[in-house]
Amino acid sequence: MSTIVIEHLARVEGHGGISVELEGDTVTNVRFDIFEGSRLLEPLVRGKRYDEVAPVLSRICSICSAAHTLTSLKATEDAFGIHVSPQTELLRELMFRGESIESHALHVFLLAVPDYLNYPSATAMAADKPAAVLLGLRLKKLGNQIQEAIGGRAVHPVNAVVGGFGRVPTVDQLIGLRSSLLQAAADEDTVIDLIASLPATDFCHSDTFFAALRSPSHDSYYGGDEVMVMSNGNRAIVRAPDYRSLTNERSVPHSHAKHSTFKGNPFMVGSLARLTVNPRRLTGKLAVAMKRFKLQLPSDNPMDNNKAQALELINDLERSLEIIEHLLRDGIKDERAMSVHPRAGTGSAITEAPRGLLIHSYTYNEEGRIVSADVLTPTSLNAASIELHLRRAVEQCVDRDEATLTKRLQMIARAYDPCISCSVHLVRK
Amino acid sequence: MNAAAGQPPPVAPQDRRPVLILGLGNPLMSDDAVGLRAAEMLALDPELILRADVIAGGADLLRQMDQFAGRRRVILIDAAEGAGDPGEISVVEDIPCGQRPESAHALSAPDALDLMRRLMPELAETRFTWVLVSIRSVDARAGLSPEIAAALPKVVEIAGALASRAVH
Repeated sequence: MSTIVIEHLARVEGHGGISVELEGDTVTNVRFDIFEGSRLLEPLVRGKRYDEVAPVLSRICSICSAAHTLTSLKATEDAFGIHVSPQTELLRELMFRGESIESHALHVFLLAVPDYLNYPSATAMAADKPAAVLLGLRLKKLGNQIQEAIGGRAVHPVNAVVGGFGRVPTVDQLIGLRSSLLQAAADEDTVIDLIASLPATDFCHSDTFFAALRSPSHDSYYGGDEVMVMSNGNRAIVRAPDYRSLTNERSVPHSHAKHSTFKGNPFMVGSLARLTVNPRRLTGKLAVAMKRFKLQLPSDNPMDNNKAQALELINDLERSLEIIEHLLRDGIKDERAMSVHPRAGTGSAITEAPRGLLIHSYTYNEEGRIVSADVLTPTSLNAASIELHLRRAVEQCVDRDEATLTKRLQMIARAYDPCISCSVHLVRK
Repeated sequence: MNAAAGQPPPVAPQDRRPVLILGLGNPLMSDDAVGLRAAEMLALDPELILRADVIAGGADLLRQMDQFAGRRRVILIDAAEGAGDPGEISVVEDIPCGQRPESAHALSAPDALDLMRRLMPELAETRFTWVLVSIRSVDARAGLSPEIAAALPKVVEIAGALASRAVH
């Protein structure tokens, strides 16, 4: 038996690795090992008041802290029967866009592109391709700027609260964001040119199940509460309260993140899944870019997730500008957060974090204190799918020399943009 | 421009003070916050802030990249693990890069500085100096360990003296 062990998966968040075992030509085992320690944040919120929950659970992750905050608020509001105003929904969507811009810019340009161009890191790439790195940093900063203006802070927002916002952004803040987004419009073409110029990566093909939020506008990270699962033309809908029928979590010995399967099948969440489930957003510039990227949906190549992230990045920039124009045109209202009347019950929320579906579900007592909490993150939902695609890559690789396989396996895992720190939630009650 | 914490308002590079003191760290990770605490104390020095800008900058150095252009000297105050006994202070010009694996969240501060210097030719003439404080703990809690809290006045004195010399 021969083995290939990648002890540390570089350029992802958290600590994980990959192990492959071969018996002759037969692949006997492929594991996506997650040895990041468990975070135990869910029991930490037990007994906390409703207004303390989002600030604690946003600490699961600093890069998707806005998504954790807003998903937490949405779950709490679901439990208490609160319906926020249309303006709040728009501002929350804008926060999500800011986070997505930051996350995708960082991942695509500083973590993924170096792989395609054979650089060991963004720092090494900066010597030859400074424009690509600067582009990523510029867009990352813009994403931070949006989150800071709406959420009060670039990381771990304090301004988004149950029922709305502590304060709404000023007209001057919105005008400032609009100016930055208009400047960034010139970057959209650079993003397209750069991604279209990358060499093709075709390491494995596999029938893939995709799961993504089916939003009312077909273009939202925040709105809606139905997940569509698609594979080979078959579709299934899962509503937020029934999320466990989608996730079917189970523990596996080699991972502190649980694995999820839908009707026994691993499924992929994230950018590629979102575009597959909501293709109606792919019009105009995005349709042209998709053609230049040679991306066809549905795709059976997980590396296409990087192309999908680049498309979403452009869409995020355009959609953020639309939201701000809308708010300026209609006039931003000085709304206060809605009053909260706690009640006993369970609330569940599903949103789209940058890496894919994010689920928070809480049960409250009549005092508005948490009885139990459950959080499912995109990387834990993706873990079984990552493992499946790693296995297919080994099986379909003709030249199984260690260096080739090692690079391919790392690139596939990185294409999922895994956030291992997020994935390791363990105790639930 | 002097701010005890958070992101200061943008100032054009030509209008900036020539010296910047930047404290780094995470306030929720015990001794990791020593750079922030030092910057907050330095920002209270009425004479110093006439000559130098002081920022308590958080944990992500890349977020501060717009603050460096136009500076003659940048003094970075940061926590260091395994660099000596807890509370030991060292002043260095260069820190080796690539010591920590890259993650999706952030580069380490030395790696981020290295990346910025490669990308920003306008920093060629800027001198960077690190004031490093060897720490005891990076547990998830607020507050410094006693040895680190005791070293804080000395950290402030050293960083302030470096800034004063740089101004003159």
